[in-house]
Amino acid sequence: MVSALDRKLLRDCWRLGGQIITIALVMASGIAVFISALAAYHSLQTSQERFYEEGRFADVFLRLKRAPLPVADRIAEIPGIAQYDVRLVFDVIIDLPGVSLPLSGRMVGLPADGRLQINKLHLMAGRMIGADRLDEVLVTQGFAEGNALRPGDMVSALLNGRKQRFQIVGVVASPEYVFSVAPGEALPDDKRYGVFYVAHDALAHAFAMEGAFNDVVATYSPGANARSVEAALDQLFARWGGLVAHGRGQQPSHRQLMDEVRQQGTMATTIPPVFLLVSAFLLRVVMGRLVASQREQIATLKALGYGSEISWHFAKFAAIVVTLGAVVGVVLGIMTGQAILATYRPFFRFPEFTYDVRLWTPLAATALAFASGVGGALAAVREVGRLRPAEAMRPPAPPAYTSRDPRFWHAVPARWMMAIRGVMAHPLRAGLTLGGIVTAAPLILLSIFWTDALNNMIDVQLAATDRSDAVLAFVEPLPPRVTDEVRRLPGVIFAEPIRTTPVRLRVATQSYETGVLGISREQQLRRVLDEHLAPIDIKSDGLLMSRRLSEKLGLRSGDEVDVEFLEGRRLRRETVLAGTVNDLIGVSAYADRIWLDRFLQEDRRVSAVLVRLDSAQTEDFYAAVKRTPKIATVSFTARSMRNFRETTGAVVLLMAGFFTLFAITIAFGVVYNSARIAYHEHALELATLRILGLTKLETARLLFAEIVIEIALAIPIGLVLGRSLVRLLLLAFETEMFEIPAAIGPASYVLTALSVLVATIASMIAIGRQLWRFDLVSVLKTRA
Amino acid sequence: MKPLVFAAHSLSKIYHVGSVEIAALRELDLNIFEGEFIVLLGPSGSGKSTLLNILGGLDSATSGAAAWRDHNLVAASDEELTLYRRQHVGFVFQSYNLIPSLTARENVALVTDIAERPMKPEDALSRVGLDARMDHFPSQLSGGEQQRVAIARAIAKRPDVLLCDEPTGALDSRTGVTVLAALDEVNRAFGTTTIVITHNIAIAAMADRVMHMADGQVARVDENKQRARPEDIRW
Repeated sequence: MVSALDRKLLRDCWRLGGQIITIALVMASGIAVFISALAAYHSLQTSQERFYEEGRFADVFLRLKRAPLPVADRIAEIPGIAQYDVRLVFDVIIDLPGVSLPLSGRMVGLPADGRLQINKLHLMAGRMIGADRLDEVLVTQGFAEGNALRPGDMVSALLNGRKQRFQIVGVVASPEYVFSVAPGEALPDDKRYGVFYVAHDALAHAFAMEGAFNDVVATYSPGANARSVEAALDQLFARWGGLVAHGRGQQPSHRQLMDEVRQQGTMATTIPPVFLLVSAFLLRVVMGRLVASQREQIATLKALGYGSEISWHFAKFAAIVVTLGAVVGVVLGIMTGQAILATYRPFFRFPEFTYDVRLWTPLAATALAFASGVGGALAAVREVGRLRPAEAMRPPAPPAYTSRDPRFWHAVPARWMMAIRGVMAHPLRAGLTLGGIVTAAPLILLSIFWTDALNNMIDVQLAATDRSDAVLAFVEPLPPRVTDEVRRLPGVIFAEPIRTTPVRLRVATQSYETGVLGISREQQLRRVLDEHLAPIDIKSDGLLMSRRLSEKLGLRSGDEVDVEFLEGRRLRRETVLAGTVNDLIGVSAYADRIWLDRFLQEDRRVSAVLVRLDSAQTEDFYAAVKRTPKIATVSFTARSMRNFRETTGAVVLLMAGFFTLFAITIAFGVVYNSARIAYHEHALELATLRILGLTKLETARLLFAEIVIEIALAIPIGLVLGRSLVRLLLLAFETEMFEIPAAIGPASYVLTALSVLVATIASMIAIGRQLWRFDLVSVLKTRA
Repeated sequence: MKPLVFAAHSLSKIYHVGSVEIAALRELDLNIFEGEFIVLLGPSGSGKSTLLNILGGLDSATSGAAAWRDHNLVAASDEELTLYRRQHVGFVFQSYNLIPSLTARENVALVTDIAERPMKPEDALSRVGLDARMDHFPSQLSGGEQQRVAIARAIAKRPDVLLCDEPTGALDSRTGVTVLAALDEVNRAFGTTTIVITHNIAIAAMADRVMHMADGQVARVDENKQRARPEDIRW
């Protein structure tokens, strides 16, 4: 049996349906962001933990030039090392039948028995390599999928200048290459880059590394001191051309995973509160209005002997809004989370990427929603409890209107005075509309802006920095004549050498390992740019640095910096910071190539050559690259940028789409509720005006004048605030490796303003329809 | 003979409330001439307000004919009725219906802003004796003052007809008289055809003609040889 009061509740809900739904939607959006971000967070984390555990992901990594196998035994003597593997790892050119484009690959040698201690492979299809089979290969699942390869297919690799054919026997996943990206690239390109596992001896024979290794991975025993283990490894392998040992923090795949996990965590904690706060405010205003319009009813009920039931009656109204918001939010959040995970799949290659929504997340989200519901409803429910029947029978006192300066106001038409005084008499509600739009606009701008950032990065920054068509990197630095050899390859119009070398930079107690990029003073293809994208003159003396690196080290131009070269003789020298560079990806130091060679006390060397190609001869160039020894990797600039645009573009578009929708629910919810309340409050006045001869359009204009004033104020504020928010957020999202340019295009501002306008117009139409059906006589009767 | 301004013939209005039909007007006939001061008397439910609403272009009839001069009020579209109200009709309600957020002057300006040849708001207010209260908000005015603002608002556009629904219904006798005086003054000064609905028989004395309504029809029409002065009316 439904009580009479509950029947009233249901009818109130039915009557206020539009308002209930809009508030619930704002709430649902916040909950959806919360749940989906946490679902992505947990899915990544769970899949990662499970895979790291199963595959025994290494704790420490070290590349070196060449060490004899017996040296490996001494790794076991280092305190804190639990297990280790020594391997051969080479970057090579891959040649697929039917694909003219030379591809890049990383070849990893497997121990003779094929069993890895750590970084174990997970077999996805086929089988492991047979004992003593030098012609078999395992490929990672990304590359296999990207090129539709199956066990049984053939693949060729250019090993030290010799083309060797392998048969694919299995497809694998490795904890070391969950996120696998070619050297020098920012994002995975499964068609063009993969990791390959072959027998140790297959690599040893090809690269004349019999009885030797060039890569160490190890796990720590419990309680190990990472720093001292790394130092011991460094010391052990310094004489074998060891680079610096580093932990997981600098392992590219792991670092990317952690960045992503962290960003989802940031998302789950920063965005939802905004939505919940807005919905609480909306609920507060709507319930305040509901109580005000039902004063007489409340008084009557109290006179009839009802007590706390009346407060509960209004509390139930809030509960219905929250429940609706929570249910829709949870469902929407779970679905959005799945969509986010689907976009992750091509980037993060786990053997099992399972969707992990923890039970507590919808529960916590619901609790948060109820908390914001209580926050929104409390004032109105208290007001109901406090109302005395006699007082409540009288209509509420009208707001105290004042006209401080009648002379000034005389210039304004009386109709607009209604709107202006309306704004001034209900500061809370006007503030809410203003605040709501000011909140929604930045969120929309934030969503739309990513496309600008992407375009700016690709079209402006990357294209201006690297103007080459292809980059050929060598297995090891070569004498300068290699540039001439490259220049003679078919299709090459222009070639520019660069020199890279790993370094450790020290300033006071801080140190940082990175690479120095030695570039040609002419900067025809590879350039270093200032923030205005103008080439920086490379001083003949000293280092230039990424802005992020100089900030990290607390360096200013002219400050001294200690440079340790991690190649060869490990020279340590002092130089100065000559300036900072406005690069977006990676953390690098830059120098004049010739100066760098001199500084290194070495003969001139070239690590890679950038080329400009004749587009009519690209096929010949591809074929020539596949025949040329010493080339470790080749990358094609246009293709990298296209890949960057396609892969991130899809993700950005999806995320931006979700967010824009969510943000628009705020704009719509706020404007709709304001307009609806204004309509109810002014219904009688509007009817009077219609009777006085104002047309429907004129009355509509009056009704919406208040909102138009508020929107006109809110949009510019929202856009300015949006710009600051974008900058602030980019700081939060800025990782050591990555910086997103705060380049907001004019179109984004316009689109944001338009979104708000569309939400406004939609709510105006929804309310306006009632105005159009207005029955003048009955409106007057309700009052009489 | 003064020209005919309102003419109604066989005018009927039937409301449907659920499955029940309520006839508010039954084949009503009526003629009102230019400049007349008419008082409509009758008990609740006799059809006074319905008639006033139709004559004022607020409501449409179910059947029959009703016209203001050459304007057909039965067949007019919504837009035409709005224009009719805007150009020719002034309304005064029992509950004043002023806009609370506008001062007296601004409430009048609301109408003068959209009228073709309006008075100045100040002049309209002056006519109803509110020179000193122009910049007050409705909440700062007494009931009688508020009703006089409503009259000023109604006359400011120099309407051809003034329709008043219980203009003194919420007022005491002394205040009510000031409102009636304002209506009388407008009627005499501008020759505005004025129709006043009331329960109050005392008011009938100031009319040219008094129409008694019952059961949706004009049951009887009384003519006053001499119109009483509002100051002489008491209730």
